[in-house]
Amino acid sequence: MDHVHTALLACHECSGEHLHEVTYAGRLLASTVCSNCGHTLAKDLPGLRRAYLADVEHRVRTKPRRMLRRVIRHPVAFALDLPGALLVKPAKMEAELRVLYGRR
Amino acid sequence: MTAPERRYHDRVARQAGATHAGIVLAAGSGTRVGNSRNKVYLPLAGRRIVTWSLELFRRIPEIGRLVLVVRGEDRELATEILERELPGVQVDVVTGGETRHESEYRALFHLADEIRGGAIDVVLVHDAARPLAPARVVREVLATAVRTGSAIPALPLDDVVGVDEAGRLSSEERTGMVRVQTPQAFRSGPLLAAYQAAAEDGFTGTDTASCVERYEGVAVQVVSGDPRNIKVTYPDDLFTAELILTTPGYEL
Repeated sequence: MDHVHTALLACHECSGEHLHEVTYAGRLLASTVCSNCGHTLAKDLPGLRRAYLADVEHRVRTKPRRMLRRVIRHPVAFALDLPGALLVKPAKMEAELRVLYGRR
Repeated sequence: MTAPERRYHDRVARQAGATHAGIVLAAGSGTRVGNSRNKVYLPLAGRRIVTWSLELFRRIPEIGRLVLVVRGEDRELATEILERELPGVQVDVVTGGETRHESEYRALFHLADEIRGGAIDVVLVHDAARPLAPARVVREVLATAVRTGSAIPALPLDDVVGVDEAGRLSSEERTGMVRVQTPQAFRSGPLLAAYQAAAEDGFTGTDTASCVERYEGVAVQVVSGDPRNIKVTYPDDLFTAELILTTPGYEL
């Protein structure tokens, strides 16, 4: 999953529906920003970091099972996608860490 | 649908071992802006909002048919999400229309042969932007619709007061006002008949219940909704929904 998504949401501050940038740290919601007025909602970073660590632990624990399920279901697609997935992993982790340390 | 027709429909449905169908509406009526996505495809607690909404129906064994109504341009994305997040679950993807009413009609049209053949007894219609409808609500609307022909979940508006023309609080009592939620459930035959009649008339209903009431004269039964069954509208709703979905012990 990408760590920044854009979607139309209603804004409490400027009323009406506007594009909002929704940022995630891994699977966790980190912040939303209204593109019209800049109104921002964000989780506090220390709390987000704690939740992120717990979530990463869960992701690591369940990874073998998820990979096995994918191998069984789509062996060819799994084999073809694996090199690309490994290559982009460091960049994805870096993006998640940037969110966690408020650098994006 | 007349009473004898309804009885005939019920009998055919029972004989055919009828199941129920769940329609999830993700077509929306808004215009796509730039690269923006429909909010129902936003991730939330590890899955897309639309996946959580479909999951509500998937967990009810009596609901044997699932239909997801999407915008044409989201079709590929929706199919990819279903394959990844609901593997092995049969979900028919139908392209919706310009309005909610038209999207509902297209979903019903997709199921029309099964409805006429008596294979589907009750149809539940749900907004994809409500990922938190508890199983209790889904079961209750389904059971009530099987018994009475229709059911919608709602919450009482107990914090509402009247205001007169001069903008002052009115002492006139307001009773029986409710805030409507989804899923809404209807006996499939009358529902299809209502939408066909509406299509012939060019009528566009605001929600499913309004169309059924108008064309089938069915009194829609209200059942108790749930305050957690929020519709993701504001950014705050995303945070609330994530909190509820990740609460230990929370079950849909």
